[in-house]
Amino acid sequence: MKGSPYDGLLDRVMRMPGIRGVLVVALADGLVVDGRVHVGVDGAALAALAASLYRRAGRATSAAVEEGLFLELEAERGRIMIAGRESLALMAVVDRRANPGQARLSVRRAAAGLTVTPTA
Amino acid sequence: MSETRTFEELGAELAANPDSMAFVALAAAHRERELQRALAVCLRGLQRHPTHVEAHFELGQIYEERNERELALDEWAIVRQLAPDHLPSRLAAVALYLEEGRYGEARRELQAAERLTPGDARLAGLRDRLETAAGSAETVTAPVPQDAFADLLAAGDAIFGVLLVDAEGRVGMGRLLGDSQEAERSFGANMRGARREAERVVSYLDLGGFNGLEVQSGERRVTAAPLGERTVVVVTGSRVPAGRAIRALQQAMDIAEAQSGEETG
Repeated sequence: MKGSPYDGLLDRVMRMPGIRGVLVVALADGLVVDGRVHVGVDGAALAALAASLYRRAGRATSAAVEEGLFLELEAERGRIMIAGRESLALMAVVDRRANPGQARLSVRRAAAGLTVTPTA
Repeated sequence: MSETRTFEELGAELAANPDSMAFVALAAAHRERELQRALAVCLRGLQRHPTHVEAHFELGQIYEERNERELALDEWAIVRQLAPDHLPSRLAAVALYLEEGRYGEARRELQAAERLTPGDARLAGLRDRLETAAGSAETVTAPVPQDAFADLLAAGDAIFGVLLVDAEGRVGMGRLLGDSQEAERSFGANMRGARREAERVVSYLDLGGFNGLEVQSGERRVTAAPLGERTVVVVTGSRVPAGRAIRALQQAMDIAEAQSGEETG
């Protein structure tokens, strides 16, 4: 079976220690474009929530969605990082034990490679 | 065939076919009587049909009834992204913005609606309300309290704002330098909404308590943390190191806590 065009990008992020899941999300409608999530997590619901949060954060910072934001949520047992590029965003669920600096870098780098019609 | 279907009929259809679109009508029917059930039905349906325009509109109405206004506005924003010519969602958003005193956003939404359906009588009514309300707001502008954060704001030229946003999204203390009061109000409402969205994501993933949020755009870095139901927010330039923004946030939280102590003590 032919892999998704985002396979390479997702795999690179998933290889980081402490990354529990990664999704590529379409920001306009909150649909999952591609991703890897753990069993028990509904990727569609998570993508919709992430896209909604991203749009809201964009409004708070007066930034256009296409401009590209980086969001980080910190919680007791982990972090969520979302990096946007044009109409897509890459969302990562990060374990509390992960190195946040490395995770940020990895998510940002991967998001920089997001395109609507990827070639990688 | 009758247009009005009973709870039983709608429920039976949904039970027989969980993919049925009857969930929208069922949620609308529940909205009249039992909001929590309406919410559950609509959210469940949207998990199966995440791009169903009328379901998002219905969910917005449910949130509005629950007085969760930012969530309502978000749902209607989704409707407009999915179906830009959806007039009811634009009308609902304009009315809500007017109630919140967010006249700039009301005006933008109203103009978009007027382009869609010029001459619509409902739009004319909203236009009258907007002009009257915005006119009054220009005459009476309540100053936002800001003294407690004044030193922090004056401490560095890279700090653009320090604010305490209450559970309703109102700016209770502080200010956003260089922005109008309406922009501050809108910022407060959006930050409140962003916090709620963040809490939803954290809760969905069972990550425990929500500790804070950072948003970085090309120009700004917004760092926020919860203080009970309120949210403390620091806005800096995007080139300001994260550590400095976090330190400013901690100072703002200390000030806000001390201020709360004085008010209650």
